[in-house]
Amino acid sequence: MLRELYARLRAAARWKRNESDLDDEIQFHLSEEVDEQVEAGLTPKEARFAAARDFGNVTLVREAARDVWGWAFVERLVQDVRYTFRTMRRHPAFSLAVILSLALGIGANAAVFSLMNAVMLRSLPVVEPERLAIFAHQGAGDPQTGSNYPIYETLSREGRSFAGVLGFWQMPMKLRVGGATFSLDGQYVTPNYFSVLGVRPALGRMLSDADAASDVAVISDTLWTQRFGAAPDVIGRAVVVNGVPVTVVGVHPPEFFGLRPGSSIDISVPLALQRRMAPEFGDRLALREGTWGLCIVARLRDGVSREAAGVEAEALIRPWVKEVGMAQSSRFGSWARIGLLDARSGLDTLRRQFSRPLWLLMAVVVMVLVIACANIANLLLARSASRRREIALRASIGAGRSRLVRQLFTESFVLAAIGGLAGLLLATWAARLLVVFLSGGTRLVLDVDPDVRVLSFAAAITFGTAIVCGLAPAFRATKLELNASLKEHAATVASDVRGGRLRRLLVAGQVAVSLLVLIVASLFLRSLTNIRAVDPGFDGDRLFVVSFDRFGTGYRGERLTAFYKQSLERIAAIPGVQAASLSSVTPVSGDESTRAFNTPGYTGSAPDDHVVRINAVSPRYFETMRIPVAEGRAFSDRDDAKSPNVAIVSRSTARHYFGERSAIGATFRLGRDAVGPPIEIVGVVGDTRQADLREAPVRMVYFPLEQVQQSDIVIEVRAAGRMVGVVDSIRGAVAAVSSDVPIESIKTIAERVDDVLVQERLVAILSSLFGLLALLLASLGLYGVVNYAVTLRTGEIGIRMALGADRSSVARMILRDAGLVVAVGLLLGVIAALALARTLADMLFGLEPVDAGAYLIATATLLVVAAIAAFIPARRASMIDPVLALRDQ
Amino acid sequence: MPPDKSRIELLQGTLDLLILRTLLFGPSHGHAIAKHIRRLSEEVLQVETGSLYPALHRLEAQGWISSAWEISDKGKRAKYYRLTKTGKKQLVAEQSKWEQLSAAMARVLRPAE
Repeated sequence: MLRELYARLRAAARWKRNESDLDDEIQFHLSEEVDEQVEAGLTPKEARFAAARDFGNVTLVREAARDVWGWAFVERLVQDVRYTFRTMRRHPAFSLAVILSLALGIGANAAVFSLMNAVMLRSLPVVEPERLAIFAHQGAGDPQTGSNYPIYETLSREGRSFAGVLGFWQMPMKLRVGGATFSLDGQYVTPNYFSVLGVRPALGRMLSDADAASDVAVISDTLWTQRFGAAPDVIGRAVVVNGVPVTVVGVHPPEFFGLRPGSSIDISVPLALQRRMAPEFGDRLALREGTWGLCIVARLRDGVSREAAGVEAEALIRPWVKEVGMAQSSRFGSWARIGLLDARSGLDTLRRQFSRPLWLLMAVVVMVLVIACANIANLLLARSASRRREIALRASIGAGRSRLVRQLFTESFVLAAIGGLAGLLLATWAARLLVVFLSGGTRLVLDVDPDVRVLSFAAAITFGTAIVCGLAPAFRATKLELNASLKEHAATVASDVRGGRLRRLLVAGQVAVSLLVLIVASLFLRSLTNIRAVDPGFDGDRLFVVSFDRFGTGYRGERLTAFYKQSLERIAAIPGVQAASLSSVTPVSGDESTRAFNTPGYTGSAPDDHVVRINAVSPRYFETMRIPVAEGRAFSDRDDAKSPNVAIVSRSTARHYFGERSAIGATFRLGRDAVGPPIEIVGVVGDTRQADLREAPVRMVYFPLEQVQQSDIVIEVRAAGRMVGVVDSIRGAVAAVSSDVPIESIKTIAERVDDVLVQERLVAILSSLFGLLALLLASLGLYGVVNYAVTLRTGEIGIRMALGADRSSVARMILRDAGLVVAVGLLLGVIAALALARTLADMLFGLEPVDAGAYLIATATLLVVAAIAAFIPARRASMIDPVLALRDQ
Repeated sequence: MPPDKSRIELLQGTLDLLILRTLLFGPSHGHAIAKHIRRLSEEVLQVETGSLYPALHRLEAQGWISSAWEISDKGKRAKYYRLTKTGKKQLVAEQSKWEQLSAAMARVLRPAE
């Protein structure tokens, strides 16, 4: 290190000496030459001139000599960079404009890419992640990963394609430390979980097969640091999780977050502990029929393809599916196909949800960068025109063309590098902001800090930008007639006309691309508006939803029900509350619970025909939600466990199963084999869109909560007037019942809608933002071109005015020019948008991708801004004083 | 300088040989070397300064000549180049190579003689 520094210093010192040596040497040569010429009879002045002429270009000689030192490249680079900084200081506004547009363009790209990287590209931090595969089954919908313990046992015992098979079930847990309770992201795992993944302990040990029945836990680095102060003696310590004491045996490394990107596992315990830690789920290991949240991940044996292993898995599991009749009882026939999915990046829930919006945003930010590039190329072109004299001068004192091109390139590289660095800083910050935005109401843990991939991406686009921006201007600027450029102004006009054409074309392209981005943005904005405008079938105004975090609290069964009922009573008694109710389905959450509906006289044909969604509710539910009761009655307090079983159905349910007949008084049974007790329908209520506003109303069946026990309950609260203070009163009311069950959240329906629509909002907001940025950049480009044209044509305008043209006709002339550019751009933009329309179709709600409204909004916005950008220089043109203009020529 | 058809541009590599040969007579500075070559070739070989100084620096970097600042006959500071030992060996090698080359060229160009 020191030696290297010394060597560099010495080289630098030698460099300086060489430099002055060379100067002295040349000076000496010249003076010798002069002496000689004087001896030959010339006057000293003539002699000096002759000597200089004889010697030739001093700079070239110097450079050629320096080449020999082997330093030429570095030296030129340093010189060019230094020159660039000098130029930048001389034109601060220009440099700032370039750097800012680059920083925004590159920053937007790097930010979206960081997110893509974190969501889609990053592999799990485990050994050979590419050999991991996840067991999945699929029907008409997305692949499902929920399976059960017998499947795990079969695969791990009989599978020949696997080097190891693990299972895990992610569940919230409660950690009790010194009287305080903390919510954790936990998971129940098969004891071989860490060894199959190849995760090494950061401290202590990971689980082993011997731990199958022990009360042990492995904790995360985060939990270790935050709750245990990173104390090494945490190993062996007993902690209470969900009321069960377990011994901490190890800490897994900080980079390991589990197998589900977007979440971060705090604690892992053996699967066998589920029976005691979450008794409300029964003994899941013993469950032979049906599936639950167990995910099975296999490590493929060397040389075994995922497809081959999938075929084996299918062969092993298919008999069980037939035996228990899985295919008939699940929606969309979800066991139609069985196979293995790539798991190198973990579970793909997040990837599935966000990959299309992210690709779309990536495309949008690339377009923004293209516009920014066009702008910079434009600025550089304009400047290279104004630098013509400087460049001609440099060329005439001995700079070769390649040298000048290199100089101009260095300038764009330095600008791009600064812009790129600023952009990267911007991106790190923006990507974190995006994660916060994406997480909506849930906890989303995503590492978006730049890694090698993000850095290389940023570097690549920075250099790409530099080349794209610098190429045309550099070559155009150096292709010139020296004498003409040095001497006169008139000759430059011809080459400016050529440059002007290129610049106009660039601006037309910018207009086209920004129109495209604006159209995409307005499509998504309109789509979002459409979704929000959907009538959900209930009144979301001043409605709060209170949800609880009950896992691991020890509350279950009667005790839990009592807790909910008492909380409801207290909340309903709050003065500002108009009505309150309990329900097992959270409004606008995507939750759903399905059952098979069987009524005499109905036989469906489609696989879905018998499926209804159920909701268990308290008597005042329909009143609180303001769901109209169309026929019959709502539930009352008399519908309890001792009274006959009753239900209320939605209009769609009634229509689907009973057609024109009245559903009131009809009976049905639940379940595939219709073995349950008969249930009488006592009322028909309006349709709602509870799970997803975008879906058509689903067939709902409501039951009295008293007759159908449910553990996961939310409380709906309708505020009477002002909403302020209601949240605090609700918290107080629940705390008065018990502080053991923490409130997870109290959110208005509007907030819940926002959470559900996070994808749509992300795309709509960001594309609008980028659309405006694109528009701003494009209008700057337009302004620049028109303004420059006015400057060039000052003389011509002067003559026109002198010959009698009035101001408005001059302004019209300039505007006509600009209008042509914009028109060409608009045409290209619309063509591009039409060509891309189909790819957007299924991301839009309630409108066609060729939506006249969206196209009009985008075009109008663009026209207004473009008009302003063109009007300013046009006005300047009309203000030209013909006398001054002609005198300047 | 008007182009003069009687003058010959130096072939690539021949300048090195001429410089080494000139320095065999003793240390000299750039200007004198150029003049010497011009005079001995009876003004046929023109040494461009743009090639001379880079060549000198290159030869120095290769260790065939060395340089030092000395006072010239006229009392001015000048950079004098002198032949090193390896330079002398190089000169011998280059010279014999050149003689072979020119003899071969002559045989090809005038086969009748």
